[in-house]
Amino acid sequence: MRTREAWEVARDIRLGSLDPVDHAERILEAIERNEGRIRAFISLRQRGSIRALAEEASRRVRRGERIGKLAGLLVSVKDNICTRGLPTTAGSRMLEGFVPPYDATVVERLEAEGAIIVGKTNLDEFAMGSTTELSAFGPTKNPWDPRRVPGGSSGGSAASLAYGGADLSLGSDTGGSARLPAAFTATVGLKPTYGRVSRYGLIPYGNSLEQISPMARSVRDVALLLEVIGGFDPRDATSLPLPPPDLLSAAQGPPREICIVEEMISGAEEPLERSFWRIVHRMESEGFSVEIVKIPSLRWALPTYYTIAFAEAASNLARYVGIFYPMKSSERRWEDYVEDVRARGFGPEVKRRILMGVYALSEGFREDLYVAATKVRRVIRDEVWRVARRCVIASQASPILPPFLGERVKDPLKLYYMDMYTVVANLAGIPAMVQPIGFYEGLPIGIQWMAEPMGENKLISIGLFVEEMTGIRGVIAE
Amino acid sequence: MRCERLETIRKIAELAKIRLSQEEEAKMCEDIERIASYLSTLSEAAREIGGEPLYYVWDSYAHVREGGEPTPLEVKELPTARKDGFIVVPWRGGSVEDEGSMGGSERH
Repeated sequence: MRTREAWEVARDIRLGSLDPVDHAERILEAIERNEGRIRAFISLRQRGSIRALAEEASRRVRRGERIGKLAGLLVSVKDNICTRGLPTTAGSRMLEGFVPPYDATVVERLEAEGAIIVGKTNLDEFAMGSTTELSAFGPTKNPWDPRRVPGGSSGGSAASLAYGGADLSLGSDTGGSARLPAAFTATVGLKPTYGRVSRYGLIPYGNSLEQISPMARSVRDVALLLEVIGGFDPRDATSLPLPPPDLLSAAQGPPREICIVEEMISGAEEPLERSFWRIVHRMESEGFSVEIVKIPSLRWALPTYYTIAFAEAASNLARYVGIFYPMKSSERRWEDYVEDVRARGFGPEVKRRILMGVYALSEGFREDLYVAATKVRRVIRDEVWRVARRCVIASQASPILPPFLGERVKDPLKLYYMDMYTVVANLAGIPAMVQPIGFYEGLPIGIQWMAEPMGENKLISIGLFVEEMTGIRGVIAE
Repeated sequence: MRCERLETIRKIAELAKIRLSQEEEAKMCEDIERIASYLSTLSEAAREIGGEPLYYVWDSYAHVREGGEPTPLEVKELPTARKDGFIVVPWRGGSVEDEGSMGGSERH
């Protein structure tokens, strides 16, 4: 089913032809209808509070006051992004009951433009997973087929969009966590250039890899969201000194050179392969030049990514010792206290990644694992940048269609393989976007685009072109 | 069948301050053996390609603040080693006398 895109809703609210209160009610009804079955949210804002904010937006429109770009839009936020006064758990028992005393920069920016935070979405614990089954609060289901996963770790954000429970959503992407769910739910996820969006207030997992990422039901909506949340933030030391990106008013025609990287298409299931080539051939017939290239170092991308992610996770999660966050222990000896808190607070996948990280960083293994991975990362970054500087890269988003719940999660290596095409952009720090291009037996199929650093405008213009070609945008599973 | 890295896993778990049940330990050991074996291709790759590590994707553009140069420090140079293999971190204000006290300033 087709629904209105967020930019259209924002326009109609601004023009006074749509009442923000009616709009909010429609979304809350969709949540009521679907949430029990899908479980996209960990916590929802109280209905009365959402209604009050929508009424305020309505009053401002009636009085002719200035309203923000996102006035009256309902935005869901992944639960590893801090929201003042709203619980933030990162999908972990360790943070159950934690209410941040401050907002992440991205949340401040959303609210400054009139957005209403509707709730906090489910995720794999501390964003470590690819299916959203590894949350301490239970799995999220795919609205297109509730027997299947929505992808992860931002699966709650994607599912909330896919059933119409939000206009826009914020996810985070460490190795594909916004893009894989986009591919599995017919939504759009864009991982920005590293440093483009502030990470202040994002509960860290892999600092050198991750970015808060806009998610929506159309390319134009993702651009709108990125324009609001992007730009320099002095509170994040890795934030690039750039103004917010201008992606829509400065939109030009799409770049005509497309490169297909062999290593990023091989190994995908047959229906995905067929859809991918159908789009590529259509673009060729529209005058795009298509070149097949090889990036040999990508055969090491997945082990490189996971080694670095494990090491950074072990370091980042060392802070959870039962002092600053809610989970406590009754043990009296310090070592026992910490071990008890961490044994009860973390789930198995988080423990596994911490142990692997400590292993990769420990004397005797460090050179062969962590240091080796950082050396390979340099080669991958340089080779990927070289290609991305002369063409937009097209690739598969996922090697498989959305798997059934429980199908992948028991075997960690099978789970990690799902990220084989998406981790490349995180290792190289370049922007990448996944958008829907079709369906196979009712299941969504996506394509991934990657561009040079700061090349988000190229992703947006090519994405808009593909939307025109396929007609797939603003779809919901209802 | 006994997992070959069991002793290593126990040591790693101790360093990570993660207590594992026997059942968890066995499963973790099996998983970590498989994952480590998968990741082990990297050392050969790194030898083949050589080069310098990359810790931050914008390394060519990053500027370390003046006076912000890191000072390398060997663990063995730290003045206060403890009997159970842990060390007191001096710049956190710890002292060996605080040993065992959770409310003190000692941190490992």
